[in-house]
Amino acid sequence: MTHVSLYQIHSMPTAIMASKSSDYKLETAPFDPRFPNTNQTKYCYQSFLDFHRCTKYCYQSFLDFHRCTKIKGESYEPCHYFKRVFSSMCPNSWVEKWNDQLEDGTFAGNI
Amino acid sequence: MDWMKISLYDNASPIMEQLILFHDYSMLIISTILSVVSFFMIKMMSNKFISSKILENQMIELIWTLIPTIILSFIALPSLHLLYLMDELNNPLLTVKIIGHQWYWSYEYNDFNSIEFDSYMSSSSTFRLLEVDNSTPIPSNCQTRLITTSSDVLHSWTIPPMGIKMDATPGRLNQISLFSNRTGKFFGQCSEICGANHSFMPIVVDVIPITYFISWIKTFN
Ligand SMILES: [Cu+2]
Repeated sequence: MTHVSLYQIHSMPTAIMASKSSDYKLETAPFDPRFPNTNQTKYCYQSFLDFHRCTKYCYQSFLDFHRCTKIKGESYEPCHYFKRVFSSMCPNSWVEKWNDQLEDGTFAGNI
Repeated sequence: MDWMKISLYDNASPIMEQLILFHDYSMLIISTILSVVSFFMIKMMSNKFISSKILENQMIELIWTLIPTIILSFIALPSLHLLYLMDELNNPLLTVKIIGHQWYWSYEYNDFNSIEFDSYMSSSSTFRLLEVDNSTPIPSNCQTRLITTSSDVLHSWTIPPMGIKMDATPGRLNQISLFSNRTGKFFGQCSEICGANHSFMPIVVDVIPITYFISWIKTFN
Protein backbone atom coordinates (compact mmCIF):
# COMPACT_ATOMS: atom_id res chain seq x y z
CA MET A 1 0.00 0.00 0.00
CA THR A 2 1.33 3.43 -0.93
CA HIS A 3 1.76 6.02 1.77
CA VAL A 4 -1.40 8.00 2.46
CA SER A 5 -1.89 10.73 5.03
CA LEU A 6 -4.18 10.30 8.01
CA TYR A 7 -6.59 12.78 6.51
CA GLN A 8 -6.85 10.75 3.32
CA ILE A 9 -7.49 7.57 5.24
CA HIS A 10 -10.41 9.19 7.02
CA SER A 11 -11.91 10.80 3.97
CA MET A 12 -11.44 7.97 1.51
CA PRO A 13 -14.34 5.56 1.17
CA THR A 14 -13.22 2.32 2.67
CA ALA A 15 -14.27 0.24 -0.30
CA ILE A 16 -11.86 2.11 -2.53
CA MET A 17 -9.15 1.73 0.07
CA ALA A 18 -9.78 -1.96 0.10
CA SER A 19 -9.61 -2.34 -3.63
CA LYS A 20 -6.42 -0.25 -3.77
CA SER A 21 -4.59 -2.24 -1.16
CA SER A 22 -5.54 -5.61 -2.57
CA ASP A 23 -7.66 -7.35 -5.12
CA TYR A 24 -10.32 -8.03 -2.48
CA LYS A 25 -13.54 -6.05 -2.50
CA LEU A 26 -15.82 -5.98 0.48
CA GLU A 27 -19.36 -6.44 -0.69
CA THR A 28 -22.52 -7.46 1.08
CA ALA A 29 -26.29 -7.49 0.68
CA PRO A 30 -27.32 -3.88 0.03
CA PHE A 31 -29.92 -1.94 1.97
CA ASP A 32 -33.34 -3.07 0.78
CA PRO A 33 -36.04 -0.37 1.05
CA ARG A 34 -38.67 -3.09 1.47
CA PHE A 35 -37.13 -3.82 4.86
CA PRO A 36 -36.21 -0.51 6.50
CA ASN A 37 -36.70 -1.63 10.11
CA THR A 38 -34.68 -3.47 12.70
CA ASN A 39 -36.46 -6.72 11.97
CA GLN A 40 -34.72 -8.31 8.99
CA THR A 41 -36.20 -11.80 9.22
CA LYS A 42 -38.32 -11.29 6.12
CA TYR A 43 -35.37 -9.97 4.11
CA CYS A 44 -33.47 -13.18 4.67
CA TYR A 45 -36.53 -15.34 3.99
CA GLN A 46 -37.60 -13.28 0.99
CA SER A 47 -34.19 -13.54 -0.62
CA PHE A 48 -34.22 -17.28 -0.02
CA LEU A 49 -37.59 -17.49 -1.79
CA ASP A 50 -36.46 -15.08 -4.51
CA PHE A 51 -33.42 -17.20 -5.16
CA HIS A 52 -35.39 -20.39 -5.52
CA ARG A 53 -38.13 -18.77 -7.57
CA CYS A 54 -35.48 -17.33 -9.77
CA THR A 55 -33.75 -20.69 -10.10
CA LYS A 56 -37.05 -22.19 -11.07
CA TYR A 57 -37.60 -19.43 -13.55
CA CYS A 58 -34.09 -19.86 -14.85
CA TYR A 59 -34.59 -23.56 -15.05
CA GLN A 60 -37.80 -23.00 -17.00
CA SER A 61 -36.11 -20.65 -19.36
CA PHE A 62 -33.30 -23.16 -19.59
CA LEU A 63 -35.80 -25.75 -20.79
CA ASP A 64 -37.43 -23.27 -23.14
CA PHE A 65 -34.21 -22.20 -24.67
CA HIS A 66 -32.57 -25.57 -24.48
CA ARG A 67 -33.57 -26.67 -27.94
CA CYS A 68 -32.30 -23.64 -29.79
CA THR A 69 -29.76 -21.91 -27.53
CA LYS A 70 -27.66 -23.00 -24.63
CA ILE A 71 -27.22 -19.58 -23.07
CA LYS A 72 -29.43 -19.45 -19.96
CA GLY A 73 -29.70 -22.11 -17.32
CA GLU A 74 -29.17 -23.01 -13.68
CA SER A 75 -26.02 -20.94 -13.82
CA TYR A 76 -27.98 -17.87 -14.93
CA GLU A 77 -25.96 -15.16 -13.25
CA PRO A 78 -28.70 -12.78 -11.92
CA CYS A 79 -30.06 -15.60 -9.74
CA HIS A 80 -26.85 -15.76 -7.83
CA TYR A 81 -27.43 -12.24 -6.62
CA PHE A 82 -30.24 -13.62 -4.41
CA LYS A 83 -28.06 -16.45 -3.29
CA ARG A 84 -25.42 -13.96 -2.19
CA VAL A 85 -28.07 -11.94 -0.37
CA PHE A 86 -29.48 -14.85 1.56
CA SER A 87 -26.04 -16.23 2.39
CA SER A 88 -25.14 -12.86 3.84
CA MET A 89 -28.39 -12.40 5.70
CA CYS A 90 -29.56 -15.83 6.88
CA PRO A 91 -27.94 -17.87 9.62
CA ASN A 92 -26.34 -20.95 8.08
CA SER A 93 -28.49 -23.23 10.24
CA TRP A 94 -31.66 -21.73 8.74
CA VAL A 95 -30.45 -22.23 5.20
CA GLU A 96 -29.47 -25.82 5.97
CA LYS A 97 -32.89 -26.47 7.48
CA TRP A 98 -34.70 -25.01 4.48
CA ASN A 99 -32.54 -26.91 2.03
CA ASP A 100 -33.37 -30.13 3.87
CA GLN A 101 -37.05 -29.26 3.76
CA LEU A 102 -36.81 -28.50 0.05
CA GLU A 103 -35.23 -31.90 -0.51
CA ASP A 104 -37.97 -33.64 1.47
CA GLY A 105 -40.67 -31.57 -0.19
CA THR A 106 -41.85 -30.19 3.15
CA PHE A 107 -40.80 -26.59 2.56
CA ALA A 108 -43.66 -24.32 3.60
CA GLY A 109 -42.81 -21.43 1.31
CA ASN A 110 -44.36 -20.92 -2.09
CA ILE A 111 -41.55 -21.11 -4.60
CA MET B 1 -12.29 5.71 43.64
CA ASP B 2 -11.44 6.54 40.08
CA TRP B 3 -13.76 9.43 39.24
CA MET B 4 -13.44 8.84 35.50
CA LYS B 5 -15.46 5.68 35.93
CA ILE B 6 -18.48 7.74 36.88
CA SER B 7 -19.00 8.86 33.28
CA LEU B 8 -19.62 6.91 30.09
CA TYR B 9 -16.96 5.08 28.11
CA ASP B 10 -14.95 7.04 25.56
CA ASN B 11 -16.83 6.78 22.32
CA ALA B 12 -15.63 4.46 19.58
CA SER B 13 -18.28 5.33 17.01
CA PRO B 14 -19.99 8.50 15.79
CA ILE B 15 -23.33 7.29 17.17
CA MET B 16 -21.88 6.89 20.65
CA GLU B 17 -20.34 10.34 20.40
CA GLN B 18 -23.79 11.75 19.73
CA LEU B 19 -25.30 9.67 22.53
CA ILE B 20 -22.74 11.03 25.01
CA LEU B 21 -23.41 14.58 23.84
CA PHE B 22 -27.14 13.99 24.23
CA HIS B 23 -26.62 12.52 27.70
CA ASP B 24 -24.62 15.56 28.81
CA TYR B 25 -27.13 17.92 27.26
CA SER B 26 -30.12 16.32 28.96
CA MET B 27 -28.24 16.16 32.28
CA LEU B 28 -27.75 19.90 31.95
CA ILE B 29 -31.49 20.44 31.58
CA ILE B 30 -32.32 18.00 34.36
CA SER B 31 -29.92 19.57 36.85
CA THR B 32 -31.23 23.04 36.00
CA ILE B 33 -34.80 21.91 36.68
CA LEU B 34 -33.71 20.17 39.87
CA SER B 35 -32.01 23.28 41.22
CA VAL B 36 -34.82 25.65 40.25
CA VAL B 37 -37.50 23.38 41.74
CA SER B 38 -35.59 22.78 44.98
CA PHE B 39 -34.88 26.50 45.26
CA PHE B 40 -38.61 27.25 45.08
CA MET B 41 -39.51 24.43 47.44
CA ILE B 42 -37.12 25.62 50.12
CA LYS B 43 -38.12 29.22 49.53
CA MET B 44 -41.83 28.45 49.87
CA MET B 45 -41.41 26.29 52.94
CA SER B 46 -39.29 28.83 54.75
CA ASN B 47 -41.49 31.91 54.35
CA LYS B 48 -44.66 32.79 56.16
CA PHE B 49 -46.89 33.92 53.26
CA ILE B 50 -49.99 31.80 53.37
CA SER B 51 -53.24 32.33 51.53
CA SER B 52 -56.31 30.22 52.19
CA LYS B 53 -58.27 32.01 49.46
CA ILE B 54 -56.46 30.96 46.27
CA LEU B 55 -58.34 27.96 44.92
CA GLU B 56 -57.59 28.27 41.23
CA ASN B 57 -55.69 30.46 38.83
CA GLN B 58 -56.00 29.61 35.15
CA MET B 59 -53.05 31.78 34.15
CA ILE B 60 -50.43 30.10 36.34
CA GLU B 61 -51.77 26.69 35.43
CA LEU B 62 -51.37 27.53 31.76
CA ILE B 63 -47.83 28.74 32.34
CA TRP B 64 -46.74 25.78 34.42
CA THR B 65 -48.08 23.43 31.79
CA LEU B 66 -46.59 25.20 28.80
CA ILE B 67 -43.08 25.69 30.16
CA PRO B 68 -42.48 21.97 30.90
CA THR B 69 -43.93 21.08 27.50
CA ILE B 70 -41.45 23.33 25.76
CA ILE B 71 -38.57 22.05 27.88
CA LEU B 72 -39.54 18.42 27.22
CA SER B 73 -39.73 18.99 23.48
CA PHE B 74 -36.13 20.22 23.64
CA ILE B 75 -35.24 16.78 25.00
CA ALA B 76 -37.67 14.73 22.90
CA LEU B 77 -36.70 16.05 19.47
CA PRO B 78 -32.94 15.34 19.65
CA SER B 79 -33.76 12.03 21.30
CA LEU B 80 -36.03 10.97 18.43
CA HIS B 81 -33.51 12.20 15.93
CA LEU B 82 -30.84 9.99 17.50
CA LEU B 83 -33.20 7.04 17.75
CA TYR B 84 -33.89 7.07 14.03
CA LEU B 85 -30.25 7.78 13.23
CA MET B 86 -29.26 4.60 15.07
CA ASP B 87 -31.60 2.55 12.87
CA GLU B 88 -30.11 3.96 9.71
CA LEU B 89 -27.94 1.66 7.66
CA ASN B 90 -26.61 3.00 4.41
CA ASN B 91 -24.53 0.94 2.02
CA PRO B 92 -23.06 -1.65 4.35
CA LEU B 93 -19.81 -3.20 3.18
CA LEU B 94 -19.97 -6.18 5.45
CA THR B 95 -22.57 -8.29 7.20
CA VAL B 96 -21.77 -10.14 10.40
CA LYS B 97 -24.28 -12.64 11.71
CA ILE B 98 -24.27 -13.01 15.47
CA ILE B 99 -26.01 -16.02 16.96
CA GLY B 100 -26.58 -16.31 20.68
CA HIS B 101 -26.46 -19.72 22.29
CA GLN B 102 -26.73 -20.95 25.83
CA TRP B 103 -24.01 -19.85 26.74
CA TYR B 104 -21.71 -18.57 24.06
CA TRP B 105 -21.85 -16.49 20.92
CA SER B 106 -21.15 -17.72 17.44
CA TYR B 107 -20.34 -15.55 14.45
CA GLU B 108 -20.81 -16.06 10.72
CA TYR B 109 -19.24 -14.04 7.89
CA ASN B 110 -20.72 -15.17 4.60
CA ASP B 111 -20.07 -12.32 2.18
CA PHE B 112 -16.96 -13.79 0.60
CA ASN B 113 -16.29 -17.26 1.87
CA SER B 114 -18.02 -19.06 4.68
CA ILE B 115 -16.38 -18.14 7.97
CA GLU B 116 -18.02 -19.52 11.07
CA PHE B 117 -16.68 -19.67 14.61
CA ASP B 118 -17.79 -19.93 18.22
CA SER B 119 -16.67 -17.53 20.89
CA TYR B 120 -16.45 -18.89 24.42
CA MET B 121 -15.24 -17.13 27.53
CA SER B 122 -11.59 -17.88 28.19
CA SER B 123 -10.21 -18.36 31.66
CA SER B 124 -7.69 -15.52 31.45
CA SER B 125 -7.52 -13.29 34.49
CA THR B 126 -6.22 -10.16 32.75
CA PHE B 127 -9.77 -9.03 32.15
CA ARG B 128 -11.64 -11.49 34.30
CA LEU B 129 -14.96 -12.73 32.83
CA LEU B 130 -14.50 -10.50 29.79
CA GLU B 131 -12.05 -12.31 27.55
CA VAL B 132 -12.98 -14.87 24.90
CA ASP B 133 -11.06 -17.48 22.96
CA ASN B 134 -12.14 -16.19 19.52
CA SER B 135 -12.73 -12.46 19.30
CA THR B 136 -14.73 -10.87 16.51
CA PRO B 137 -12.74 -8.89 13.90
CA ILE B 138 -14.48 -5.80 12.52
CA PRO B 139 -12.84 -3.42 10.02
CA SER B 140 -12.52 0.17 11.21
CA ASN B 141 -14.17 3.09 9.39
CA CYS B 142 -16.40 0.66 7.57
CA GLN B 143 -20.17 0.53 7.56
CA THR B 144 -21.01 -2.90 8.95
CA ARG B 145 -24.38 -4.59 9.28
CA LEU B 146 -24.85 -6.75 12.34
CA ILE B 147 -27.57 -9.37 12.25
CA THR B 148 -28.40 -10.83 15.64
CA THR B 149 -30.45 -13.90 16.31
CA SER B 150 -30.56 -16.70 18.81
CA SER B 151 -30.79 -20.45 18.65
CA ASP B 152 -32.50 -20.96 22.01
CA VAL B 153 -33.56 -18.13 24.34
CA LEU B 154 -33.30 -14.34 24.34
CA HIS B 155 -29.80 -12.90 24.51
CA SER B 156 -28.56 -9.39 23.89
CA TRP B 157 -25.39 -8.43 22.07
CA THR B 158 -23.77 -5.34 23.53
CA ILE B 159 -20.72 -3.14 22.98
CA PRO B 160 -21.15 -0.07 25.22
CA PRO B 161 -18.38 2.13 23.71
CA MET B 162 -20.04 1.82 20.30
CA GLY B 163 -23.54 2.45 21.54
CA ILE B 164 -24.74 -0.96 20.42
CA LYS B 165 -27.25 -3.14 22.19
CA MET B 166 -29.39 -5.48 20.15
CA ASP B 167 -31.57 -8.30 21.37
CA ALA B 168 -30.94 -11.73 19.90
CA THR B 169 -34.37 -13.27 19.48
CA PRO B 170 -34.97 -16.85 18.32
CA GLY B 171 -36.67 -16.98 14.91
CA ARG B 172 -36.08 -13.32 14.20
CA LEU B 173 -33.19 -11.41 12.64
CA ASN B 174 -32.43 -8.05 14.16
CA GLN B 175 -30.28 -5.59 12.31
CA ILE B 176 -28.11 -2.82 13.68
CA SER B 177 -25.37 -0.83 12.02
CA LEU B 178 -21.87 -0.55 13.36
CA PHE B 179 -19.34 2.04 12.32
CA SER B 180 -16.24 2.14 14.46
CA ASN B 181 -13.85 5.03 13.88
CA ARG B 182 -11.38 3.76 16.43
CA THR B 183 -9.25 0.65 16.37
CA GLY B 184 -8.85 -1.46 19.45
CA LYS B 185 -10.29 -4.20 21.58
CA PHE B 186 -13.79 -3.59 22.87
CA PHE B 187 -15.66 -5.59 25.48
CA GLY B 188 -19.28 -6.28 26.15
CA GLN B 189 -21.44 -8.77 27.96
CA CYS B 190 -24.71 -10.51 27.24
CA SER B 191 -27.40 -8.10 28.38
CA GLU B 192 -30.54 -10.18 28.49
CA ILE B 193 -30.86 -12.70 31.27
CA CYS B 194 -30.60 -16.01 29.46
CA GLY B 195 -29.99 -18.66 32.09
CA ALA B 196 -27.42 -19.99 34.51
CA ASN B 197 -24.29 -18.90 32.65
CA HIS B 198 -25.60 -15.54 31.48
CA SER B 199 -22.66 -13.81 33.15
CA PHE B 200 -20.14 -16.00 31.38
CA MET B 201 -20.75 -15.25 27.70
CA PRO B 202 -18.74 -12.06 27.08
CA ILE B 203 -18.27 -10.32 23.74
CA VAL B 204 -14.92 -9.10 22.41
CA VAL B 205 -14.70 -7.07 19.23
CA ASP B 206 -11.34 -6.36 17.61
CA VAL B 207 -11.59 -3.28 15.46
CA ILE B 208 -8.72 -3.50 12.99
CA PRO B 209 -7.73 -1.55 9.86
CA ILE B 210 -9.47 -2.81 6.77
CA THR B 211 -6.26 -4.11 5.18
CA TYR B 212 -5.66 -6.38 8.18
CA PHE B 213 -9.28 -7.46 8.04
CA ILE B 214 -8.92 -8.46 4.40
CA SER B 215 -5.81 -10.46 5.11
CA TRP B 216 -7.71 -12.17 7.94
CA ILE B 217 -10.44 -13.14 5.44
CA LYS B 218 -7.83 -14.43 3.05
CA THR B 219 -6.48 -16.88 5.64
CA PHE B 220 -9.76 -18.78 5.24
CA ASN B 221 -9.39 -19.27 1.48
CU1 LIG C 1 -27.49 -13.60 28.70
